[in-house]
Amino acid sequence: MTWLVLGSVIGGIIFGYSIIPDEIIKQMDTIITCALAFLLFLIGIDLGRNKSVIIKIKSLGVKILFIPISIALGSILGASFAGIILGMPFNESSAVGAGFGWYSLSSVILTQMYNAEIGTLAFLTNVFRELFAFMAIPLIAKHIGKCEAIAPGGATTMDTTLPLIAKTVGGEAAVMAFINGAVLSMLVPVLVPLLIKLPF
Amino acid sequence: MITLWTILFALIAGGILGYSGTLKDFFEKHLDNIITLGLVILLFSMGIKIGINEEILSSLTNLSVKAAVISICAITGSVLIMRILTAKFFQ
Repeated sequence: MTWLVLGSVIGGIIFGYSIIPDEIIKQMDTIITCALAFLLFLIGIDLGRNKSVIIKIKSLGVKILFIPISIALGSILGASFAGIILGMPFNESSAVGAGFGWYSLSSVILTQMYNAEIGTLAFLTNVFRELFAFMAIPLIAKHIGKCEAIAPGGATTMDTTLPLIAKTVGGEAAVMAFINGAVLSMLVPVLVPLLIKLPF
Repeated sequence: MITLWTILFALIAGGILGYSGTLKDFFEKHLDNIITLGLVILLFSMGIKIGINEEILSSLTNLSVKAAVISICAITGSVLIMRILTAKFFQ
């Protein structure tokens, strides 16, 4: 699965960089939206026919919120650790990390509130996060664990990385991943402005 | 950009269809393969979007090294905390 993911993404990058016609470029967003909506529809079918999933999720209850909380905490801690290595102030590195993979929103907020360089850094960091998540999810699902496989995707686990999680980890994790992505998506517009305002 | 309503609509519509059990055997048997095919199309298209993005390709310098370090540390941090948490709460 990891090789299939790698091959598809790298194939797409090379194809996009070299030979793609302009008419297709204009349609890229539509193609992605359609592919994603179709996949989410299929995941819905898979979850709907697998009735034990909902019962298991219900039994977890509020505990399920520990997942987005720990992913938020881990992302911000990890990013600020990277900030120390790179010699960046805490507010910059933590705010970039609090994008949780949602590159469009985090880069707009930081460009508007702070400066264009950190905005671009947030854009790149969170594009990379999504990209690395695609590669890490099948590996983590196989070698580390189910819940851990949700972590790399961050806020993207409610849309772009959800099909991969459903495929490699299963229906139960897909429901947890969707809830995780929804909660983290709500936290991005709160945490990014809050962290960048810190004076250190 | 996909909206929240598209996501919810697609998931719920699929959920109702799956729950009702009206699907033909063919679809049930091949659902996994169809999902894989859909994933390849999605990932390939997202690759294309990166390949045509001047901003990503032109700043493949100092800033992208920083971005790679931060994203890898953020991923590692979240997996680690998740690992500690699952050991404590989800056993």
